[in-house]
Amino acid sequence: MKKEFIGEILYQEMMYDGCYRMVIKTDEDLLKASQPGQFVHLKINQTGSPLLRRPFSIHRIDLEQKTISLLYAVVGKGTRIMAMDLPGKKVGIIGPLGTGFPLPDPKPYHVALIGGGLGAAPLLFTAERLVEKEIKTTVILGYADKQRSMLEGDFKRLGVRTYISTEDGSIGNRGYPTEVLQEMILSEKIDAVFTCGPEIMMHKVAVICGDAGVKAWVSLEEKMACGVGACLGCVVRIRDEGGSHYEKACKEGPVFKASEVIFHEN
Amino acid sequence: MKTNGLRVTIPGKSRGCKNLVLDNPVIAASGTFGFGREYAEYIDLNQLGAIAVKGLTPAAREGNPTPRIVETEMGIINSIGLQNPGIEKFIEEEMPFLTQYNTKVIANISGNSVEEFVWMSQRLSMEKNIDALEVNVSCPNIHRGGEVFATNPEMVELITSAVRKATDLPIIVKLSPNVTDIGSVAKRAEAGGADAVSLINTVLAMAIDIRQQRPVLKQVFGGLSGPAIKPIALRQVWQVYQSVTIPIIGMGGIMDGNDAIEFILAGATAVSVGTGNFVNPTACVDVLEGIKDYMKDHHLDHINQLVGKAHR
Repeated sequence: MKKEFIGEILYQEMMYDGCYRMVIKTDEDLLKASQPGQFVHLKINQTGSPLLRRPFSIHRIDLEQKTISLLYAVVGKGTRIMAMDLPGKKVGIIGPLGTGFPLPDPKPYHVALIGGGLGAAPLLFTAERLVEKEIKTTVILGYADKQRSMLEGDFKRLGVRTYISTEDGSIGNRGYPTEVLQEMILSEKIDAVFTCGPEIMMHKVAVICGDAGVKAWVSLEEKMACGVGACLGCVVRIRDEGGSHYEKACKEGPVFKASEVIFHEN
Repeated sequence: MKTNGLRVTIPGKSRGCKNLVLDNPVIAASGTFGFGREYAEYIDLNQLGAIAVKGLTPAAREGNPTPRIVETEMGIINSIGLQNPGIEKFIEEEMPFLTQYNTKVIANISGNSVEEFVWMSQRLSMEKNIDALEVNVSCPNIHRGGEVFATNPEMVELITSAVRKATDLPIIVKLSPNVTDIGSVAKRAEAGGADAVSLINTVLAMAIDIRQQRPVLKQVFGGLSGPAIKPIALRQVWQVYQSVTIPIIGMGGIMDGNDAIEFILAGATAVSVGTGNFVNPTACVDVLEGIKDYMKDHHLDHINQLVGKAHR
């Protein structure tokens, strides 16, 4: 039977003003079951407020330290509370939930990871697992500016080829990560692309990969209540032979085949 | 507590109609529990008194466009739009799963006309493992310009009596809180032949995104549930208890055993847990354990001793 795990916040690290990495010590069963692209559903308070859990993609798993790391920005009540949480606080964790990125087995294989902003969060865990499987991995990260850029060191430490783009060019290439992908996809062999970030960026990745005939997967974000597939709040439109249908971001997703996703129009 | 101290019975009122007997008074509320599969990974479904399945319509419905859900202070507003596989697929694909458990199955039905309610009742009555029907009258009546059935007491009686003629299963009419006098609506359901009423359905509500300066939900309005509506729900259970003699299934923001006890004291024979499941997948079992603890602390032999006790 699945259950809620209890975690204890070990520490938090400020990535930039309003963005934090929370490191939580928790049960080995949760850590061992976690796959890249999956998420956990976090109960921040035992007081009942905020009412719902908050979903976070799994940013890192450390089996030695028995920790899970989550990367988040302060956007509302829940994350505002989290940002003030001190080490030692207990949180309730359900997970791992959902369907993650399909890690390939064949070895002469090149995976490109495209992250935008906080969307880089699940890609670190993904890169770690790809490196473990000795799969060639390239990561292309896009941020608004230098102040909000992060994780370059974490990826480089894994030995992963890392590119950074910023909209204002204050660090790395000036422009979007999709422009780097566009060039790379023409000049070298990429077998699969995994992406997470703003929808407009993922949509662009889907188009670039579609045109180049490269398989791609996107990690979608939707407002979610239960996280386990019951409430039907988090549905996304998925293309099929007859047209399209809804699938649940929490169960069939959050990772979907890019070619099957019908992105929002705005 | 006695061995059967938690067992509750909703007697079939009409001649030849079945009783609904629950091993305990905790029901998983329709629309919050799917068809049980998701929560079977977290709790033993045999521990529930009953499962009210996701609202069914004659044919499959894909539901509303997103955003369908928004959290507000101590509550959730949803506008899922009755996404469901339709009656036939439910019977074919979901009933075999539910039948593995001893837990009673309450089929929740939503129609846009009296004929649809009748057809669904007849079809579901052919399935031997369905134990009761819950009639969701909070749907728009396509023959009356989309007027919600629940707000018209005459229509509530009409639907109930039509369903009564179509089935010998126990009938639970699920009442909407969005009415002026819920007691009089409950009376009409009783007059139409309902064996029980369940209340409350969600409270009509909305939220606005001040950044985008438009409603959060694509459908603009949705139904509010969760602890935010508990005081409203309790008040209406209280009123209905004073209006009818048939049993009441109380719901609205029940998160733990103490909440459930409040509803029982207000007049509920059984309780449903809805939004609580979204917060804790084990909520139904937690509520049941809380009820047991309360009974132990108060040296109660049977849960019936508490029903409506606050009316004094």
